[in-house]
Order: sequence, then structure tokens, then C-alpha cells
Amino acid sequence: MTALRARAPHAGLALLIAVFAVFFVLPFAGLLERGIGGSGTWDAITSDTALDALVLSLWTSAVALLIAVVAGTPVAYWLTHARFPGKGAVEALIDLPIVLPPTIAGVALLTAFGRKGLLGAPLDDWFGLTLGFSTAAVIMAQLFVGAPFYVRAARAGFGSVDAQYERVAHTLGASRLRAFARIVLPLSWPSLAAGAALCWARALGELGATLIFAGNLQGETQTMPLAILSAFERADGLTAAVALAILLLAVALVALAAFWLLSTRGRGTP
Amino acid sequence: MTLEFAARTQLGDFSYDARFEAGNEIVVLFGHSGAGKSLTLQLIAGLLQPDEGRIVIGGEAVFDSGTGLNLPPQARRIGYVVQDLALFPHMTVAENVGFGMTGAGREWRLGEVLDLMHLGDFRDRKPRSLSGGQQQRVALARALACDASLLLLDEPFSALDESLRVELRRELIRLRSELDLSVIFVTHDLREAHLVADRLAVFDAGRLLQFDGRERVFRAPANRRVAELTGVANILRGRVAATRDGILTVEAGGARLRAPAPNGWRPGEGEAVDIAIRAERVNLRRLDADDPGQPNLVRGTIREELAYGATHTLRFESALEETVEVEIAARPYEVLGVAGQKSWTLELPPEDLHVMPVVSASAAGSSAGATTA
Amino acid sequence: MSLRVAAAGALAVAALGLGACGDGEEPTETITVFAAASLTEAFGELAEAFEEEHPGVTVRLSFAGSATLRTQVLEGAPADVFASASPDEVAALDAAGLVVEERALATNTLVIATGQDGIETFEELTLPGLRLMLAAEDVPAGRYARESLALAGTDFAVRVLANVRSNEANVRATLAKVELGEADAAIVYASDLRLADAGIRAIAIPERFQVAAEYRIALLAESDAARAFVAFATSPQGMATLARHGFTAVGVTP
Repeated sequence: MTALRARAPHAGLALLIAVFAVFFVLPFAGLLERGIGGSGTWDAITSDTALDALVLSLWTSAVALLIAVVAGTPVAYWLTHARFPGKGAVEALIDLPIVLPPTIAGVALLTAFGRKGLLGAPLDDWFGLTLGFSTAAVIMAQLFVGAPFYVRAARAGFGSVDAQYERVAHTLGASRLRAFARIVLPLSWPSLAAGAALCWARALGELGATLIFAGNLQGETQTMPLAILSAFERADGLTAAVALAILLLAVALVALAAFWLLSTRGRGTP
Repeated sequence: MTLEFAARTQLGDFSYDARFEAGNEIVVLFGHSGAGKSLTLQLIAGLLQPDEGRIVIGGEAVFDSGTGLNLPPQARRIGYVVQDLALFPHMTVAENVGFGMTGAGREWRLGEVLDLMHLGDFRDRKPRSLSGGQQQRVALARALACDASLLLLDEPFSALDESLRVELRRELIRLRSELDLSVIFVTHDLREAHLVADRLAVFDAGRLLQFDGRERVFRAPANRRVAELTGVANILRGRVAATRDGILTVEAGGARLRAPAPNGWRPGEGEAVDIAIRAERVNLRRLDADDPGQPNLVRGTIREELAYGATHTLRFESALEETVEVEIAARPYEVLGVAGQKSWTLELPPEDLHVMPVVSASAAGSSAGATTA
Repeated sequence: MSLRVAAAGALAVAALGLGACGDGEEPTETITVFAAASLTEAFGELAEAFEEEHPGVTVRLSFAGSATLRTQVLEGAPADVFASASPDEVAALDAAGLVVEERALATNTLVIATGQDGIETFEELTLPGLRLMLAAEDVPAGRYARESLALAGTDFAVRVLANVRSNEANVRATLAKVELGEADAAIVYASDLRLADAGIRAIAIPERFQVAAEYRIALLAESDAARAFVAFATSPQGMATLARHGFTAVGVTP
């Protein structure tokens, strides 16, 4: 009984793989080397700036994810099944923020919801409601760049569920909602979970749009990426930036690991 | 009557029009793929709405274009087994079967259905781990579990091997009598249709060509297209020469054929007709027994021969315009010595000839065969 | 053939080192100048004039907040010249042994930028609900602004800082927020306001609360072309250019 073994890759290919791997591993090694060696690392991690930014980042990205899931799920479901002219255009529009540089997203948000923006101006004039440079703007920026990832994954997930299952569920007396909850949701769960994780990760890492649309104010709009950028500009810049980066990295890893465990658990193993 | 069905609808280029009913029996919808069989089931189930029509299930109207009534699938009380079964892959057998069950005594009734379908041992298994036949029984059990009086089965046995089909057909017939079910059964398999049908509805290109008892459809197809679909190998175009005492004399090619006049229809003299005779009904006679003056005897020469083991199929060239196909069992084939002899007299017994009206290609829903008279 | 080209190149480089304006042969050399965001237009013009006088030398400009530029240089960014909006950044590079030589470049004053229906006085910066934007504390413009507010009293400074909606990465981004209407007011350099929208007004900061921004220029590489650029920036022609953009020239090079 010889087990099937993958053939050893060609030497040139092996070298390419190794170089590629090093390219991705080395930056993290650099971060850790600087962070662990640096004297001010612990102080930077436990500073008010860092903790404020971390708390803000965690709860705003969680809210952005929640909105993306609550609003994005029905949109994705509808887009999966609806047939109408211009559907391709609608899908492309929803995907657009994925390819858009976040700074453009920030500028675009400003032109729409800023104080002189399309909707921002009347909101400001009539209700005195200013969205830009507020915590709400942080969430909006995160939602704008993150939600498309969720909707895209959800669409793929829903699309992979044979429509026959739902039809049969209906003939067995299930309402649309029940068929969705009992059939579609469990079957597309892995896609939804992956999309949610990606959406959250994007929201957590969002910098460009936040910088332009939400500004940089500790405790209110200064998220972790902004705090890292700001730290980088200080006299002792790099130490603090590295420390914050390690903190964010650790939190993100823990969250994603928990998420992954949760989603594989929820899916159940055969 | 458990089902009264009448619907007309247009789906793109496809136009559909059918009307039939079902009591406590198995009605087989038979036809090629794309004929409208599955569509019929979807219309009954409420997954699609016809443009016009009326559908009554168990005495209760579920669709009526006249009043605008249109109950959703979940309110129609039907059991529907789709062609690929669509067992919910993430649920166990018990969860699948129990999906549509509600109310008091659910557990008890679930157990009963599982026992009925011999699924008690598999209740905690996932569908993926079951054999094809077991999966089929789960799908049937699931459809039966919500106390439907009308069962819709779409090619339910198509994915199974022959021995399983036989077993499940027997099961189905048992269930039908045990549970007082009406079953609408879709198949494109002629033998299967013959086996399970009480009544047969022959579909072609969106039209219901004939709805009748099984034997009637097989013995007396309504027209050339139904005859083709139900496997009649020989369909001859002819002209009525004489009608007398319920016997028609038809000129077909260079031959005169006698045939009983069909029920409910009297072709006039000179009218074009189609005559059907199954390949296994044509008899072979030696040439020396030939009496050329006698009707229903035609001299023919074998042009092609196919051996199927138990039977042989012979294609004859004769005075009739079309090739005549003859099916003969292995034993008479040997006794007669067909292998060494090319020329034979073909006997087309009058009682096995079925005369049909000529319908235009469009009315028959077919472009095949019909030459203009 | 290639030998001749090389020789000509070497000659041209030598000529450039002497400050001569060679023509005919086209040597190529690129110098990289890091400059504070507030210098964007002034240095853009300066570089153009310099390139015209020194054919074959290309000036690459990189503008950002002085603090950002400082960190980039400390992390090894290949800058030949650094023009900072404050001496502190230059001092930081000097401490790291990266500065060849440095000198004063210009000074700048602070003003309040506000929209047409904005505030009228320095004191109104304390108005509750005013949307104020400053450059971040680590950016010279932000540091000067806070120093200026502190000069007006701790209590005053606290009340004004409570109105801050964002700490922007550089002074230009700060001004842009007023232009966009996102901010009611911002504290920026007087030089910046020359470029702003017609709709932007400058409110003067009283003399006694003024903090003069001191711009310094540092040579970071032993390159003749870079040295020539520093000399050019601090020459009378360079000073004139800076003055045209609202800076107070303090050039010393004759």
C-alpha cells in the first residue's frame, strides 16, 4: 500500500514558491522583530490612543458588519433570483467598491454625504445633521468598502443552492421565510460566513475612505489604521506604529480564528 | 375526482394546452422531454401559473384564472417528487421526511411513514450516504408525509437500475391502493408508462394528444403522432376505397387492406387515413401459401435485419410505400427458417390494424411523417 | 563610441558641479526633494526654474506633512534635500546623523481659514458647536496652532480644542476641509490661503498669539546637484519665489 504522494515540484518552481512565501512571511517577521525588540512597545500598546482606537475599530467594524449582513442578505438573495433588464449593471455597481481605491471611496462619500454633498447638504440644512467627520462616517466608510465583499459572497452562496430545494420546500408547505431559514441559509452558510469575515476584515483595515470622509480624532473617528498612520508621523513614530500594528494583527487573528471555528461548527461535519 | 386540470399558457415560443383529470388512480404523463410533462406538474404544484385555466385538487379549487384565485404551493396539499429528488442534503432522513409535518402526533406519524417506506433504520443518516433506491424512498416518504391526497412524481425512477425500478413500481402500486392516492406520474419510458399507468396522457410539444385508458392508448392511438410516440413501428398512409358493415377497405400503396372501422369516427370513401400496426402483429408466411388476390397479404423482401437475442426485427420492402417493420420471436424465426430466405408474404391481420384520421403536422404537434394527402 | 559618451557625461557632471549651465551635451541626474505640504506650489515653481537653469538635472518632489517625511527619511527614504516646516524635524534627522548641512529657509504666519458665513474673530474659535479642524499635533502646522492657542490662555485653548473635529495629516488636507464645507474653520499658514477657493476668508490671529513657523532646508546627501538646489532655494531668486507664495523669506545665500 503506497499512499498517493504529490510529486515534488520542479527545482525552479520550488524556488519561485519559496521566494513568494518569503515575500509574505518576512513583513510579519519584521513587525515582530521591531515590536519585541523595541523598548516602548508595551507602553504604546497600552496607551490611551491605542486602546481608544482599538475599541472604536472593534465596535464600528462590528456595526458595519451587522448592517452589511442585515441589509446585504436580502439584497443578495433578491439579486440571485431576480430577472430584470440592467441586472448586470446593478451587480457591477455593487461590486464597484471592491475595485475602487478606498481614497476614491472617501471622496465619493464626501460628495454624497458631506456637508455640501448631494444628500449631506439637505440633511445639514434641514435637520442640522452632519454625517462627515463623525463616528457614523467611520461606519459608513467601512460599510462602503466592506459590504460588497459580503454581498458578493452571499450571492455566490445563494446561487449555489439548487432552486429545486426551495421549490420542494414550498410544496411541503413551507413559507418563503421558512424555506429560506431552513434550506437556503444552512446550505449557503459557508459562503455567508466567508463573506462576513472578509467584510469585517476590510472594515477593520479601512483607512483611505475613513481618513478622507471621517477624519482623525481620537476616541471618535481615529480607528486603528488611522492611529497607526498618525503614530508613524510622530517623532518616535515607528515604534508606536509597529506596536499598534501588532496589536491590530493579534486581535484580527483571534477574531478570524474564532469566526472560522464558529462557521465550521455551525456547518457541522459529516 | 382528486384532480381536475385545465390550463393554457404561453412560455416564450412554447405554447401549452392540456386538460385532464385523475381519480384514485395512477395517471401517467407520457411524452418526449420538452413535451410539457414536467411543466404540467409545476402548474399543478403552483410553481408556475398558467395564463388561463382552472385547477381543482381534492374538490378545492387552487387556481382559477376566471376568479383570479391562485393558491401558493404551500397551500395546495400535494406531494411532489422532483426528478432529481432534491433531498435536503444537510438534513437527516427523519428531518427530510418530517419537514412538511406539523401538529400533534408528529413524531408518531413520522415513525409510521418511515416504517411504511422501510426507512426506520436510516432515520439518522444523511441522504448522501444512502443508495439510489433508498434516496428514492426518502423522497416518496417526504412527499407522502404531509398527508397529500395527490402525489406528483417526475421521472421518479429514471436514475435507478432496472431491478430497483421494478421493486419501486411495485411499491408505488401498493401505496396507491393502501393510501387511496391519486398519482400523476411523469415518464418518457414507454415500458414504464405501460407498467404503472391506469390512464395515460400522451403529450407532444405542449399539447395533450390523447388521454385515455392505458390499453386504449396502446391499441387505438388517436393519430399518427400518438402511434409514433407509443412505439407503433408501422404507420401507413392510405385512402378509403370502400366501407361496408363496419369494415373499411383501404388502398395503401399497391395493396388493399381490410380493417375494422374505428370507434366514434366514420371516414368517407376517398378520404385519406393513417393505418397503424405494431411490428409484433405482422405475421410472416411462406411464399407458397401466397394468395395474391386475398386482402391484407403483401409480398415483401427483407432489406435489413437486427437481432436482439430474444427477438429479431426485420425491415421489408414491399408493395406498400413505406418500409414494413416486423418483430418476430427467436423461436418462430428459427422454425420458419427466416435466416435463409429473403422473400416472404406479410400478413397484416385486420383485427390488428387501427385506422386513424390524418391530422396536419401542426395539429398533431409534429413535423414528422405526415405527408400531405 | 560608448567611451566618448561616458567621457562627455563625466565632463557635464563636472561642469554642473561648478554651477555652470552647460548646454549641448545632456547629462542626466535626478535629485529627490522632500518638502512640507505647505511648500507644494512654491517648490513646484522653484524646481521648474532650477531645472531650467541646470539642464539634465531632474528634480523629483515629494510633498507630505513634515512629520511624515521625517519618519520616511529616518526609515531610509532616498531624499537628497529636506525642506521642513519646523526645525524640530530637521533636528531629529541631524541627531540621526543624516544631515550634511542645513539653514533657515523662510517663515510663515498662522491664520484662521473660514467660509463666507463663518466666524469673524480669533475669539470665536471657542463658539460651541463650531466645526474646527487642525493639522495633527505632530505636524508643524498643528503644533504651531496649538502653541498659538496656548498663548491665549489654557482655558481658551481647552475650549477651542473641544471643537476640533479632526486632526489632519497635513496642513493642506486641513484647509481642504474648509473648502469642502466640512469644517467651519481651520488654522493654517497664511501662505496656504493664497491658493484657497475664492469663498475662503482669512481671519488674522492677533500678533501677541502668533507663533512664527520657521522653515528650514537641509542637505541630506553629498551631491553637487542637491547642494546646488539648496543654494538656489535660498538665493534671492528662490526667496522671491517663496515671497510670491506668501512666505517671509529669510534667505542668506547671496
